[in-house]
Amino acid sequence: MFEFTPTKELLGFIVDRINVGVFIVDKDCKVLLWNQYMANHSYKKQELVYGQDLFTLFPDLPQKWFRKKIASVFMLKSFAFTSWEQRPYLFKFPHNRPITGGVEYMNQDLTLMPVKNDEGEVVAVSITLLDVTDVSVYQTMLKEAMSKLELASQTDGLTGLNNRAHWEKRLLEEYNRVQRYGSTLTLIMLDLDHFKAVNDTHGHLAGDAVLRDVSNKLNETFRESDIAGRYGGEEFGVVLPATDLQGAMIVAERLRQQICAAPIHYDGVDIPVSISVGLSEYNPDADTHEKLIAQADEALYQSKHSGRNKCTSYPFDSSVT
Amino acid sequence: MTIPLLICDDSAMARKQVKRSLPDHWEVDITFATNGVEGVDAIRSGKGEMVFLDLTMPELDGYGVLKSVQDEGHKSIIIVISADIQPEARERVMNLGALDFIKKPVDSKKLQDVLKNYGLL
Amino acid sequence: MNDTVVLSNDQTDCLQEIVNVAMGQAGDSLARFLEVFINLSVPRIRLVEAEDLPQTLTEMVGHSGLISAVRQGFYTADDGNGLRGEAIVLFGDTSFKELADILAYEDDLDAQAESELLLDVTNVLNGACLSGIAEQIGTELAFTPPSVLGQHIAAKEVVTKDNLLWMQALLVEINYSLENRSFNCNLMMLMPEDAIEVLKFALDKLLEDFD
Repeated sequence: MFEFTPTKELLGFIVDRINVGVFIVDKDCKVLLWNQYMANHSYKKQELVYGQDLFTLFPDLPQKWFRKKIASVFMLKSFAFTSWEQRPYLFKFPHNRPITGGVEYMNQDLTLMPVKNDEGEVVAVSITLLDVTDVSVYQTMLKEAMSKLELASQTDGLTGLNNRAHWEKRLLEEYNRVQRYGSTLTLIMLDLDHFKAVNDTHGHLAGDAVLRDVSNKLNETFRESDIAGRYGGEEFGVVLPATDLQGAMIVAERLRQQICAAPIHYDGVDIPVSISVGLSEYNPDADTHEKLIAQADEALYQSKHSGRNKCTSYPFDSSVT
Repeated sequence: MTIPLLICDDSAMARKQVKRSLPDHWEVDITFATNGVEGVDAIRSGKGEMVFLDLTMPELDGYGVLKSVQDEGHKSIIIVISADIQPEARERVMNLGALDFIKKPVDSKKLQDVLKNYGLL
Repeated sequence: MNDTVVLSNDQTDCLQEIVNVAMGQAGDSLARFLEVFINLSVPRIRLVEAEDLPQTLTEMVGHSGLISAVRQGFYTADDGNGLRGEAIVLFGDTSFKELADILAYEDDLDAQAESELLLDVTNVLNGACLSGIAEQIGTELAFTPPSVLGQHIAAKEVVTKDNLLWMQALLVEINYSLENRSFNCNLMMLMPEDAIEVLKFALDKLLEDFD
């Protein structure tokens, strides 16, 4: 049977050669121990750093903050930690993903441990440094994937506009804001005229091209802060925060004229397109955001009934047709 | 002469700890109170000429007891035994008329030193 | 409820006193860290069922407003003693601004500085409080780095019931508040069933010394 007792020499060897940074500093932040890993990554040999002030050796360290961290271990006789999520690195060490890493320096997690004497007093702080570059890279990839997913779940695949669910959510947020803090907003609902005929005559791909073209014109016409979405098949909604009916009408009218002035070219054919529009400004009668949609819809159908290719605002005189 | 001694702490273990830390052959008549309200009642009925008092307690805390004793003019000698070791806690209880402050967990020697210092032994 | 994990009255009282002492030490550490006076209240000890935890969190915080939560794992550094668990610290959002004010953060806290501050305060509290408890029952604790569970969320969102693979846990609840300030934070120490057994054994040994 093999008898094994780890000797002090062996333990010392492990600390020195382990693939993790280990170093010890005293109360004045003078280096007492510096293992191979630290030496290799800092390009500073052990015999050159012993007894030296950590911050003289590494002037780039966030001195004030790191001193306080070390002092807290002495004062509270307890562990302290630093994480890459708050500070990606303390030491400007190279990392082993120079090609695929996408980060400048090795990302690091540090654990500061009190070293106590027999009386229980803290005489030094032992610090271990872990390379967490891989973790940070994966985390960043994960975050990017999550935000792409989030965007995809909010976007209409054909037009790239907000999908209905997300658009309604944004409308509700704006509606609540106005209700709580005042100001106003105007809602525009618009529908393509005779869209079924476009599909029937030119095919569904042509219909898709028309929808995309109108969406592009929506994006060009409205401000960054306006919220456009695809409400249904060929119906769109736009929320104009802090805009009254008069202002919204000017923009809506401009959009209507632009659309009907420029037929859409598809597969060598010019397809004429026009829209009917309904507008409603925030008002006491619309006590929910759904009511506001209903009002704008009503105005939209008034535009349809009175000949299409026009804008109507709510409330309207229904005797005029 | 037997001294009426009150030990006021919400923890049974803490009360036992204090009792066991008392000097042997010290002639005292011990009453226990499990919160500040009971403590003040005991002092009113003369069972607390000498009091070992905890600070964090339900109903009425140690500060409240000290205040009541001061307001009602009882002559109790009160030593606070508390886990609240903030220097300011000590200062506050001294200002409220406590004789001294001993930190928890109570140490027998420390407690007897305090008693000796004030000539209570 | 599984009776074997229930603490006897003596055990509860004993633990309460131990926590009380540790809480005092942690309060002192925090007071020195923040240079303010900390108000301490009586710690509360009870068993919680996993499915009740979200509700318990809401009750502890005492409001439905937004909070931030940080967790930290702990385990005994002694060979195979087996005491282990997680500590969760909850900070109310208003407390947070207060904290930044006390620590004289000059600019508005960005998200990173904010989480760093949360992690630091959590570590100070846990380091002092849990080590204090361990010391009194004759063991020593090691800690994992603290990590943020969530920022600006409702208390009940801190944990997801489906992710709790335990039935019951021992909950030790400590409340710290600052005098004349609206700062308030709840420290909860949660131990799984196997660790409760270890704890009970240690408490019994302590209690024997007193009888």
